Amino acid sequence: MRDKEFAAARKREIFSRRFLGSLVALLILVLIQACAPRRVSRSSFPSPRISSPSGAPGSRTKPVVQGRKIKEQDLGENRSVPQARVRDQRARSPFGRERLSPLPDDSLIAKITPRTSPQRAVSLRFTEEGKRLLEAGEYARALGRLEKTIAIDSTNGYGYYYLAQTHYHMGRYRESLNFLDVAESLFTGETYWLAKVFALKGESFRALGVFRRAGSSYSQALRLNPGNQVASEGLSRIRGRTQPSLR
Amino acid sequence: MASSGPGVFVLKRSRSQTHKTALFFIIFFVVSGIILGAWYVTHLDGIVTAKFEGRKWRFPSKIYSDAYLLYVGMNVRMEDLREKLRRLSYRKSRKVPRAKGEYRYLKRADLLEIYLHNFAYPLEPFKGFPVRITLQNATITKMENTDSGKELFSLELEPELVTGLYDSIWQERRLVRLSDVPPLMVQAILAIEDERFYHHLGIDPVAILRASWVNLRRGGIVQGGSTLTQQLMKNFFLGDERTYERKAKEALMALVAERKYSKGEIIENYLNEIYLGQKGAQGIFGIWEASQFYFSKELSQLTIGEMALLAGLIKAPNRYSPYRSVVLASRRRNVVLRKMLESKFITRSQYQRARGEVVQRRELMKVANDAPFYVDFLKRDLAENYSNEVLTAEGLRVFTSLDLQLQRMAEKVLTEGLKRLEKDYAHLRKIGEEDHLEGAIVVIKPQTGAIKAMVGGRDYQKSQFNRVFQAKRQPGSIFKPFVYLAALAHGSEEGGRQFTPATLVEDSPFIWEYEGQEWQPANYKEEYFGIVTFRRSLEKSLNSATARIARDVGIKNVRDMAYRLGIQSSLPAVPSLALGSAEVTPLEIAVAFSTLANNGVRTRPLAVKQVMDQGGRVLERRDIRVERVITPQLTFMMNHLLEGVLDRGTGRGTRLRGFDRPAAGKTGSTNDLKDSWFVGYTPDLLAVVWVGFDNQSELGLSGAQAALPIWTDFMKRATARTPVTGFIPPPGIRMIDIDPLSGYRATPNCPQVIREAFLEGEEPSGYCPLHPAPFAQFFTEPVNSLSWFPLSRQ
Repeated sequence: MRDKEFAAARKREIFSRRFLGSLVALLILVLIQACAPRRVSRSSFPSPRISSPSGAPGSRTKPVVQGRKIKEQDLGENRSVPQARVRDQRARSPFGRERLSPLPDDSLIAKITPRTSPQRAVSLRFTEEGKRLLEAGEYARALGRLEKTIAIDSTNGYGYYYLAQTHYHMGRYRESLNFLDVAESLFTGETYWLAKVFALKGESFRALGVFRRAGSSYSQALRLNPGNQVASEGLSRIRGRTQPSLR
Repeated sequence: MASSGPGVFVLKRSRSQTHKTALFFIIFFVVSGIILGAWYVTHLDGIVTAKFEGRKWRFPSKIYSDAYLLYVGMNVRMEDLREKLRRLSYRKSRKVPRAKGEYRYLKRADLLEIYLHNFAYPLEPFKGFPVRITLQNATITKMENTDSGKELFSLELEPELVTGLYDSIWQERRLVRLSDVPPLMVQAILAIEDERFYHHLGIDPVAILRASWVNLRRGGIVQGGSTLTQQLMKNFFLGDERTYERKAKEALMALVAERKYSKGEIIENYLNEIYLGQKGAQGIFGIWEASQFYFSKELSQLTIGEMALLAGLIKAPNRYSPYRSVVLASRRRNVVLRKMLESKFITRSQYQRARGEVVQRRELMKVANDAPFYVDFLKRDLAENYSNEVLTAEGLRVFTSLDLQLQRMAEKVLTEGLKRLEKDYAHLRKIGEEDHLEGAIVVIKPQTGAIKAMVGGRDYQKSQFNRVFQAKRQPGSIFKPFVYLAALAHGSEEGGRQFTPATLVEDSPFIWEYEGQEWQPANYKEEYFGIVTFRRSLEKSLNSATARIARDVGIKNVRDMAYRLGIQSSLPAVPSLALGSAEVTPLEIAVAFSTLANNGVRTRPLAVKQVMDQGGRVLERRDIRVERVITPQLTFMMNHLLEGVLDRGTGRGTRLRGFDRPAAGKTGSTNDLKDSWFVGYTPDLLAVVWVGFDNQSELGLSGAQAALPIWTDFMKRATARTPVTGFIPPPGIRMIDIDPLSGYRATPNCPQVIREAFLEGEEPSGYCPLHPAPFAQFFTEPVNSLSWFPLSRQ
């Protein structure tokens, strides 16, 4: 029964294609093909090499500030929609003057705006606390805070990033890489943070002695943010390590 | 003398002999007595010394629930919050809370004021402070520390004590040094229990004589003459029997103790040893624990009246407990105060002031193990690192992921649900005569792996078998999502054909030949649907279509997918695996589906979070462990498909019962209807429900009939007032409207449309040929005739 319906449908289609503007359809098809998006990898595992979400280097995400450490504010244009709701309102000012406001480096509290959801707001505050504890070398307490961040808001990539950093400092490099994998998927479009993620991946791979992957992670980080010092230093170290062996 | 004859001499001689013999025996008995006495005293000395020098007390380990987080913007039900405070032994106050453990709720102003308790969190001891919480329409709008005026963005209510792990009796005590006890507290005890403590050597003859006189006059035992030292010896070594033997032993031991140890050491031990009340299963021992139990105060904060009340409790803790009778407690306190005044420990003005103190009526919150199955699971978990001796005597503090609110909900819905099933289905009652209908629920937070609740059976008193992790049962259709996910991930094993949610598959009887054997899957009630989409096959849980997909994907790929998601039981790579023939536990199912709920990130299940020793040292910390095992795109597609199960498929009963949040899930029933399953989740909470009989009797009900109603009841309550969150499509996903019959893009003429998730580049290009729209042909690509044919035909 269904086969008959299919056959009839096909006949109708052929009929209409003959008698009604096949040229127009062809033109539209050409247009559709031209606009068709690229195919996404089918692998169920995340690809070890992630293409730059904002296109090739040299696109408008390339930082305009040279010669100093590039901060998140300099790379703020290419954030994806989900992150836009936590973006600091000042960063969206049409005048751009507020971009130069003295935000602390990587401040997460500044990302809380009146439109930020309560879960994200409290999660960001815990992340900030965790980050400070991490900086103070209190890793166990930092872990406690940062684990709360993802329990409250599992889409908080910063929480995952700093968890990865804490595990890295505790010498748990595999754990660090696992958290970075999650952070990476949550930072799509945030080139500054993606660069940090790749740089830390590089560090973790280097610590594990997987130098090839460390190198590619550093390179990826530098493609996203040429000012990422961790990546550039890491890459130099790897090159310094590999060069003598080449001789 | 002259009159004395031989007879007299004989008599004299024999008398002398008798005296000598008597003397010998007297000396013998006296010497033996002294030797024996010395030996006995030495023996008692050994016992007393061993006790004083060694471990005096066993400290049960304590299990705590997770802390309760409050934050600005959070939606709270005031009733729930007040219930939480009640369980944490906070006392309602009419005035502004001034002491730790008090709270006040002003309904008109929608204001909650709490004076937080102290709590020793791992690594971070917390000192309680007063906090004001402003609410508006049940949402927290502001929180501030009223002492410092500092605004707070979040605060935690301390974890609840779930239970203790103890040997025979749960003795709850915290040791204090004598120097940490206010002198007036000691004096209050001495005044009422042993006013000549510093003047006797362990036994007090004056007190004994006085007590004897009083008892003689009253015609019964109304007063004891025991000193504190004797009481301590009795508590340490002897029972409550009223015999002379026990009394004598007690007195000897008291003498020994007084000879070897200072008064300070004896009183310090007494202050820590003494029994002062009962809180359910938990015995309150020692002065510090009593101070917390009756007044939620540190010893240094006690008033004279409170000290007198505690001292008065020693005689009969449960009779004079203010929890039981404020009048009796006050009377007894006044007796102590009078003795303190007579002994000149307090002045008259202090006495008057203390008498004027009002003993507050308080509600007793008993510690009852509300999560026995969870605790059993913890014990097994802890047993890997800690012996039973350590757990029952070393006073460890175990912090867990348990959410007692969810736990109570889970227990309630399971019990009610099973009762309802027995009421609605007569055959269950009949089978129930031989074996009770059983069930299990496990609740997990997917992002962290935290096991929030666990009910391993219907009634812990009747059966301690924890079906959540001990019962291996066939999962039936609940296993099917692993087949579909493997299909989306790997495509067809031969030919490399890709699957999308719109792929057409055939649902009709067929035979699967595998390694020389034949297997023929059959649909529920032998009902077949012909050509269906991949989505419809999953939503309707069609066995035949699923088996075809599994055959195309390869059963080993299906098995690997299950392992990757978190199944740990051994899974044989045989065709029937696709329909859930291999036995797994509900906990494994929960972990595997958590991976889906958590965007493809697998977490390890966490019940124990941290273990602390008595000194506050963290012995163990179990961190959240994550691993991305599936891409976010594939996970989203799977979740989107499973949302359809609830919206249109076998799980639509959840919607009919009023659960309308974005959620995904799957029913599960085994072929022989012995097991009924339902797994479902929102992005923030996952629950698995299993219903069946332990003896594998036929339940005769599907997952939708037995497990689904219980799951729905639970999730409706558990997610009430929590933010509504959905599954967010990650980059690389395109949402396209599809005609569910043809699997092609929907046209305006399609009677039914489903918004489907595709990987970018895999979305169907053609429009529905079954319901063509006017001029749709302009936008229709030539249809690939091959793609029109079902996946395979037998």
